[in-house]
Amino acid sequence: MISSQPRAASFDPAVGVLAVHWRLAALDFDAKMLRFRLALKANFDPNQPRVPAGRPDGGQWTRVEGYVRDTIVEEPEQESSDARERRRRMFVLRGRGTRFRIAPNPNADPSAPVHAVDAFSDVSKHNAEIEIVAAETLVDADLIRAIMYVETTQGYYGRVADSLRISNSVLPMNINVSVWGEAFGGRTKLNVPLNNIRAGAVILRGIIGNLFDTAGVAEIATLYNYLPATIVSDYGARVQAVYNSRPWEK
Amino acid sequence: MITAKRADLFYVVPLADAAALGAIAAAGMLYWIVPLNNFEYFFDESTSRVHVLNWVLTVLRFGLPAAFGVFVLELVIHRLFLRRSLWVRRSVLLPFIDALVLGCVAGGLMLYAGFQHNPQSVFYGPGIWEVHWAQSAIVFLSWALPVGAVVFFVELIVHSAISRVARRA
Repeated sequence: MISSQPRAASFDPAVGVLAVHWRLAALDFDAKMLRFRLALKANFDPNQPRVPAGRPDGGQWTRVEGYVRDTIVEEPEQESSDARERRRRMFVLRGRGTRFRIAPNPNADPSAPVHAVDAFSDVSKHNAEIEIVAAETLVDADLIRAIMYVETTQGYYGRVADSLRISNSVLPMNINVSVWGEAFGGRTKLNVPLNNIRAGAVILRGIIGNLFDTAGVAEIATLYNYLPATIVSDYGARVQAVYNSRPWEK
Repeated sequence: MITAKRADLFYVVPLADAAALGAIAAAGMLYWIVPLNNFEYFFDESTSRVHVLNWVLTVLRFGLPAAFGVFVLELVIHRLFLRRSLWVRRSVLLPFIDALVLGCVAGGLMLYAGFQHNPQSVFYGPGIWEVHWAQSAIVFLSWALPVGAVVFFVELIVHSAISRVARRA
């Protein structure tokens, strides 16, 4: 029934206390995330060995003979796209270790293609999962949204095959099981939206970790769509435009 | 008034098919899209108001192009076959041909969308002509078969109804 009366404003003290608790927890989480980011920037290496528990200095970082800290490996000048894809995939899963070379492309077309249908966007539906995954992986939630938006509004061609469990790419992040294999648990696991979005975010984090700091959304998205890419594609430019315009808020 | 004359059937049959298939396309799209938008685009939960205009716009946006496409394609198909007197009351031939063509068009459009979205890796290998046929076939058939099946059965019903009306007239 349509109501013309505005709802009466009421204050519930219990809700107010809960809101304050929630806010404090959020601030605590933000502070921890900030510390973690600063640690990453300061070349923190989570894989460095620690002293085993039970000793007085248990848990402290230590030096072990034979342990070699990750070094940055330069990309080869000449390489087949197949070999580049295999090599880059390894570094994406590792999260760091090289610098993907991808050139800017002023001719990349950021406009929506003819077959794009905005109404097919899954972003609103999966907003809660995106927030969870963004907090877990420290990947920008809007970057995940922009990728999901483009994948679901332009990459819907696999919807039917997806629902029949016979497609290579699994929506909403269109994770390609023939490319990533069992790295994210295979098709069965990827059919669960939270796992699927998490896999997409981990791939994005791996790409970001292997790019120069100057790389932007267009470069990251180009590699998400096609890992061996060496120049920004129309897809990358489109994701950048979507990221800037935030159509999921309309 | 509908008569059994071929000249009338030439337009009536595609029009009826287009209306039926356009309505089904719009209904299918609503079934898909309404949950995707968390119902917000179609309902206002706070006021329990239904956004009628958004419903109408969505129906028109998907129903009209589908109906127009079916109408034009069937005009061409029926022009080819009615001229050769292949129109038979309650025949399965015409629905089958329409289903074949419309299914292939749907599958082809989705394959095109896939090629556009994933120019490399999913559909093509590293070689210039190295197409991943299995994946292409999956995308094509996953749309062509259901669309073809819907077109076939809907047209069987529509054509049968037209035949009855035409006989009575």
